Amino acid sequence: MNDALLAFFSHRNDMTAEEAAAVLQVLAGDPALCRWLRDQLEMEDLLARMLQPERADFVNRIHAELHRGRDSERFVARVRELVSSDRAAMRVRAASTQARVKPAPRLARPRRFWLSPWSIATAASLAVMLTAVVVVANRPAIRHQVLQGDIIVGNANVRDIPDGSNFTVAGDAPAVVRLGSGSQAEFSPASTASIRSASHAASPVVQLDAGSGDFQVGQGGQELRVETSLGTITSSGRDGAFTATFNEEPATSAGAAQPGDHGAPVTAHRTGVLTVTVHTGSAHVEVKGKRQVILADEMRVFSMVGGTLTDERSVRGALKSLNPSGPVASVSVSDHATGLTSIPIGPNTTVLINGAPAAATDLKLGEHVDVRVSKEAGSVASLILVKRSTPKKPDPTHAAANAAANGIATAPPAPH
Amino acid sequence: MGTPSSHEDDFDRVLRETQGLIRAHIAGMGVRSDEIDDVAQEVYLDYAQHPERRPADVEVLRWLRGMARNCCHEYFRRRAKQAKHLVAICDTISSASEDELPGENDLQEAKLAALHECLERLNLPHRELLTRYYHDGRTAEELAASQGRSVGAVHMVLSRLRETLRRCLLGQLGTAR
Repeated sequence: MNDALLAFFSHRNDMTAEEAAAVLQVLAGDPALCRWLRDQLEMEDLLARMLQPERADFVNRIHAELHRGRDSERFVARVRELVSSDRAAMRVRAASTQARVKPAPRLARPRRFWLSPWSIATAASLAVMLTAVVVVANRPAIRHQVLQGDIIVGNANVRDIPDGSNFTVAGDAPAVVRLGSGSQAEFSPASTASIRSASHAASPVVQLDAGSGDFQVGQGGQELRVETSLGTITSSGRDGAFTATFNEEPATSAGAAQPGDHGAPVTAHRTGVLTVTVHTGSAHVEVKGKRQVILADEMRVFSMVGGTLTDERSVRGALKSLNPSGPVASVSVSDHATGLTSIPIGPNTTVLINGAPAAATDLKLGEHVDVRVSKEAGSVASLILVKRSTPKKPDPTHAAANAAANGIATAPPAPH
Repeated sequence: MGTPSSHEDDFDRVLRETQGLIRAHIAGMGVRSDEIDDVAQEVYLDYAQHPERRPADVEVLRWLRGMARNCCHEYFRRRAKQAKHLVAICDTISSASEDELPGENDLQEAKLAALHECLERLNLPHRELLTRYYHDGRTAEELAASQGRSVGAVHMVLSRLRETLRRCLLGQLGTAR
């Protein structure tokens, strides 16, 4: 395969003019190469159809789209009936008006009914209604396909999420949702969110109310935006991928296990923790007008009370003690520069092991940890990051074993 | 505007008989595999809403292929940075390809069934590479980084695997091209 076709396979929609011209040049006058390329592309489609089970349902997808279309057609037909009734009424009114009008002198200019205030008002109403009909008729319903897992909208389990509708991930398994423009999101169980798009081709916006999602930007490289009440994450580029975890709690409960209360009133505010982990590409996070860029393999935690972005402190070293429950829940980290540092942990603590959410009980004494701490008036938010040499998703059964090995009681993992 | 049920039956039959071939046709014109079904959907929705536009002397499959070509052009105009070039590439590939036989939609489904067996014949690393690329949606750049290869090398391996599978399919189905 020559370089020109390599560019075609790699990024055909984003090729430069030179790359595209080169592809055209090698194909022109070489029917055998064209057939080879076509065979390759058809084989790509066959492989994708075989390995992507959701594509097997194409016939039903078309029937569902047609059904939706007919709903809007019926609405349009009803409006048109109303419009034609209005026209009939207008004709009756015009006829009765003309009947009352005294016959004009022969040379006088006849009065035109469409100049009357009634006619002008009716015409304006008709114009507005027809415009509405055209807009409604031409706007296809935007839905977001559920590829895997259980999604509840209202009380119903759905396979397509209506645009803008709030939904919840039901069951114990994550739910994978196809967003517009080829992007994809995997929401963790119990997450609540909504998705909206201005159009099928527009970049989707995910409103993450609570929970966690793994977001993958589509190959088209369009922007993917995730909004929370704390801040907004934006990623673009063909390979952009990030995880956002957001939990919002009343400040009163969040601060229960937290020392460091400086006497500031906390009951009037809600507090939340937003954790952003970028896997590939980069992401922009904006919290109250402050914009930060997070690069691949970086993680950041944001916490805020009363609209103030808190300062972060980072502690790296070996995990010396682990006390994940009780009134003084904490971890102690030892590093060469500052010695032993004790960090309180609580509901606003997030543990990520090799990028995967885990419980504090999954931590192992002696292993290297990277702890980010954000202090607020009423609470402390923390993120504990661990990179283990053998990537392995924490198993709940291992959590109990680790807890036993560490000599502590097992606590259920905090919901993410 | 309701469609009589006989028209619906006709449409359903056409959809079932041609969808595999039309999707393959769209793929062959260069639409990315994750967007082929979106383009095919445009084709069938348009056909369902305006079946009367097809001249009586043009067979359905040929008509749908023409619509698919127009939809592909529109897709490239909307999505590709070099839309004019991509439209020209699409037409170049199309014009050089021979017309499919009317019964080839069945062949498409047979290919899909036979592909399972052909995949099983590949060695495990190659199967995993295809799974990660086509199922998991990993990019060639990601695969290259994880395997310590260049992006070009990954595309080259993918291309060779597609060619291997194509030959395997031809052997399985007893056809040659």
